[in-house]
Amino acid sequence: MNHILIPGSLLFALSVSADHVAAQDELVERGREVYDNWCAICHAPGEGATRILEERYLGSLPAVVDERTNLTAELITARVRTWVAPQMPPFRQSEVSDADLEAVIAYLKRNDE
Amino acid sequence: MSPLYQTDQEPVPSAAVAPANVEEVQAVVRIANRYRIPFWVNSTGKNFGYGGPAGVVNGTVNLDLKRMNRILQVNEANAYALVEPGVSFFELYRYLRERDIKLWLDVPSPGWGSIIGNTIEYGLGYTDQGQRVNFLCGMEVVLPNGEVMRTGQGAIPGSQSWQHYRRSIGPRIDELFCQTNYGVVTKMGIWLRPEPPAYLACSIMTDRNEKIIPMIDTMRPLRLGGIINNNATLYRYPFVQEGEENPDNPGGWNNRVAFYGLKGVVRQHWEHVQDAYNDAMPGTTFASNLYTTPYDLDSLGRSPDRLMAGIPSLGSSLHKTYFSMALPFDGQAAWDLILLLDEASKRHGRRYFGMAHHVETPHEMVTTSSALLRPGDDEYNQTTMRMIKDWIVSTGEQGLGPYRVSTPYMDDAMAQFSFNNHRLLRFYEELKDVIDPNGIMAPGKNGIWPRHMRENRA
Repeated sequence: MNHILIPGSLLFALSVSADHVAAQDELVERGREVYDNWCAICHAPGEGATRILEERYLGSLPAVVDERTNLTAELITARVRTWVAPQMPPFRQSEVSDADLEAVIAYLKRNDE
Repeated sequence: MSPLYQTDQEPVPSAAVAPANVEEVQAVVRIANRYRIPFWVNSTGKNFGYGGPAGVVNGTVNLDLKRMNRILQVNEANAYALVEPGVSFFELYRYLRERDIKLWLDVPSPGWGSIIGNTIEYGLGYTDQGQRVNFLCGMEVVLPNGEVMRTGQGAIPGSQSWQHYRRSIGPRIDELFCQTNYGVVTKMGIWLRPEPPAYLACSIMTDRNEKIIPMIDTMRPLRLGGIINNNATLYRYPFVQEGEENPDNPGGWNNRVAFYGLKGVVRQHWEHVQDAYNDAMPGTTFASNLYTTPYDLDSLGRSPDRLMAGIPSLGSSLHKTYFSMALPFDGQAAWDLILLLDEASKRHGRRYFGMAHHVETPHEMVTTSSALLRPGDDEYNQTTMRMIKDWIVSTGEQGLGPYRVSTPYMDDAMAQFSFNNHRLLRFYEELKDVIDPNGIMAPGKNGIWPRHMRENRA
């Protein structure tokens, strides 16, 4: 009988890694809920912001924001917290908390290459 | 946004406080009283069209109620909801749809706003409950001394009929907390409407601006007589952004009306309405969409029919400032007002060809007039502000006044209500002095100032 000996440190690392993945999945799921509640109103397919972005990107980028794969945390934060895009209002802490924002960032970056 | 946005004159809050429940609101109000700190209340909305979320006075603390976001009760059988101020139209709409509760609500064009905030600022919807304040039933209010009061039947401990009947004995006082600075509304009952068996969304279109006269006069007996029941709204048609109209032909009007009820009945009403317009205004064109149960409201997509079915949407007033007026339900009065505002606008290098007119109730018509703002263009925005102040004075001289204005013009607007040496304002301020002697709540709101700050009046 062959036995494969796995070092304890590797088991620990695998366990930590699994926990991390589970926590990340949870964060992404939480981010999806926040996105559906706050962002999809304008950014779902066919909604106002999507139509504006369709005209702007002309197919060069996905107009539906949660289909993007190249958004940075800094850009998402700036868009949510400050009035940088003329048509998009900023959202305050009592609407989208810092924890919510972190979750939205995780959700929007879930498919990044 | 405010025409003062990012200028030296822009009022900026000194802090923001976001209580999570009524006890925390009371605590904040008591602290504000102890230290004489003025505060301004926001529910969920951003108040873009009416000056933004900041107060009139620089340094006023923002009391942000967004965290008070509980839908406390929905009674499907009796068609009402009891909500906190942080509940948006989107949130109540989702709540109803997710639970398959067959009630419709009335929504303004920006659905992110607070049901309480919008309703007590006399915000409009587009259904047959379009003057939504008339469907308000019972409030809980934190008074400026920190005490909690419930209005109507809610003043009876354990009331069974708080959201069923709007009065107590004595006067109904809910509207003392509408557009004023006498208390913080922490709960409100709102009557909803049962899903109708059929909904018919219609457009009545004309091609010339001046045809607003026969259009309104043709509508009047239909609205007064109960044939047209929703907040029938006239929009410029085809819509052209302000400032981009062709002065020689700025277009006509689209009167959006809706019918709710039995399929055969709504069709009959619509045929009667078309006959009336064809008789009075040959050449009028019509369009309609009929929806029946079981509704697939999501299929409405981006359709303008959404609003008259109470489906919240993204509305954008980001770069506008509003001055909304009451006027007689009369075509000539509407046309005269357009000409008056156009003349006033010309004095500032702009033009005015009319904005949306809303026949909120069978007897009441308002127009939501707005002017554009350009972020970062102070000169343009200052001109806009001067023009709107000119509108306010010019219309006041003709005996016409606003029902809702942006924060930078509140004193100018209130000054028009000057009968008998401003007796109405003096009455409001006598109440203010009794209810809020330290003047902590929203000083300057709609021109109502506490005693020690009246020298601030613009």
